[in-house]
Amino acid sequence: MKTGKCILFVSLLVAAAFTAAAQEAGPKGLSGRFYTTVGHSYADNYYVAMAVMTDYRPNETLNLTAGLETFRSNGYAATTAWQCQLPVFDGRFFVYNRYLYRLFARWNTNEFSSHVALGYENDHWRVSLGMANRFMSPFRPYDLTGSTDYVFEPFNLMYEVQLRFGLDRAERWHMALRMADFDDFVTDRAYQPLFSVVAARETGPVEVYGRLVCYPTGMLSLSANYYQLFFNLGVRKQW
Amino acid sequence: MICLSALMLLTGCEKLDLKGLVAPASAEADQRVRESLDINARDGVRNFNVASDTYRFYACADVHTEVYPYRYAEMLRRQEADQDALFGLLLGDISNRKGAIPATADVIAGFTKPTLALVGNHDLFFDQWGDFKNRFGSSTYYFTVSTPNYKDLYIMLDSGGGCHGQTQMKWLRDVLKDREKYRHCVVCSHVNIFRTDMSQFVSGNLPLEETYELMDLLSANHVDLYLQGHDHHRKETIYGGVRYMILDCMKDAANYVSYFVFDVSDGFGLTIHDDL
Repeated sequence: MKTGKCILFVSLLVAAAFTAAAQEAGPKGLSGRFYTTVGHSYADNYYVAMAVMTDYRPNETLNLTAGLETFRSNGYAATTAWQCQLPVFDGRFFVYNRYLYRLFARWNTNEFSSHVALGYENDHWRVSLGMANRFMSPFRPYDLTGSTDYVFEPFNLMYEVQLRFGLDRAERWHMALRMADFDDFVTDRAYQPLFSVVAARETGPVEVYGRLVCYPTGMLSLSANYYQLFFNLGVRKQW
Repeated sequence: MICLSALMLLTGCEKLDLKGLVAPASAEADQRVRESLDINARDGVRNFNVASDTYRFYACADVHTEVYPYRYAEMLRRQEADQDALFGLLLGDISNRKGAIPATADVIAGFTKPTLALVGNHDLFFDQWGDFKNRFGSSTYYFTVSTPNYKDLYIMLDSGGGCHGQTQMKWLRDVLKDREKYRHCVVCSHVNIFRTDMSQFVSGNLPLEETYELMDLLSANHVDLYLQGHDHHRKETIYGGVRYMILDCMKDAANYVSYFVFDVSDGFGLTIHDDL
């Protein structure tokens, strides 16, 4: 599929995303985001999703994030995260910790993952390296076993590389490129990176942003295959 | 510099397909599945008749043939000499370099007991899907074993590109609709789906959503066994009533190799042979 090859190639050149300035050192206080997702998946054809996130920054050193998402048919996710940061050189050294619960009701599966990372960010880039673990279990026990069996994955390498452009507050346009194996509502495996590019524009009281994400599978270890492409369109407001 | 030189050397000797690590190196999953289903339509469903309700099959994975598969050939000799053995399963990564699929197929052709194979990720590098198709045929198919009182179902899947894809998952759902007609159901695919220990740190897996869909499908249809390779280290996990087994590799250069022998009756007796 030529489209898939092009997407992979372009995505590798650009590397990818940005969670709408949620983790940048923005002004103190409360901000909220709402975004919709339209995508195509190799496993699920076309789909839509909606998410709402809140970010609270009580002081210079702490960011708190929480969010809810409904995706596909009968899919739900809830996440909460905190980031503690200290000024170093021209940026901030940070510790990041996130918990994500996802329910795939149509596939009778729960997933709970926790992710901890160390990183550094400034106005131009952000990098982090960490680990995550994951529990998978049936939402309802299967008739055959009646048991509450589960699978535990103890270690997944988590990483993020993000390049930011135009983050100067005087600019009205911002852009970012990001490559990471996690996202607002995804904690994936090291070989399943998400490549994304985001553009945001401040328009009066809100910031409007769009984000294109390419999600190949089999990267680096398997024979690569296009897997998923989705687009987020959202607004963010600071109070 | 040393790493770069090593990469160039491996690429030059057609062992490492750099393009295949970041973009499809053979036809993509849906295309391969369509081609496999065309082969199935032409060749029909294979059935093995046995005179007893118990029988035996051999299974191995990750042969990674360079020029000649010495250890795998020894396993084939033992399988051939074993009067109770009905067939052998070869669960992907047959090849470690371009040209190794025909070389392995030639070895298999020297034996009379049938080998049922599926494609692995290494079998897709350097556009080797054509070689696989020409020598082994379909990689998405099922076959049956008929005993005097029962019938067993074996399903082979193609996960060489890191996903099964929509076409194959739909096909699998359709095949499993008849699950209740069979005594046992065994599903085989190359890529291991769980990362439950550190040996899997260096191996890629299926996307999580496809994994969850597959796990639910297997459990809901009371699949007995899900056999996988790819990780090179054996591991058994039971989830939702399904036994997920990863096989060791059969690579000549590996320190530890093994193949599995299953004795099928009311259940699955397993003997692991690591003496090659």
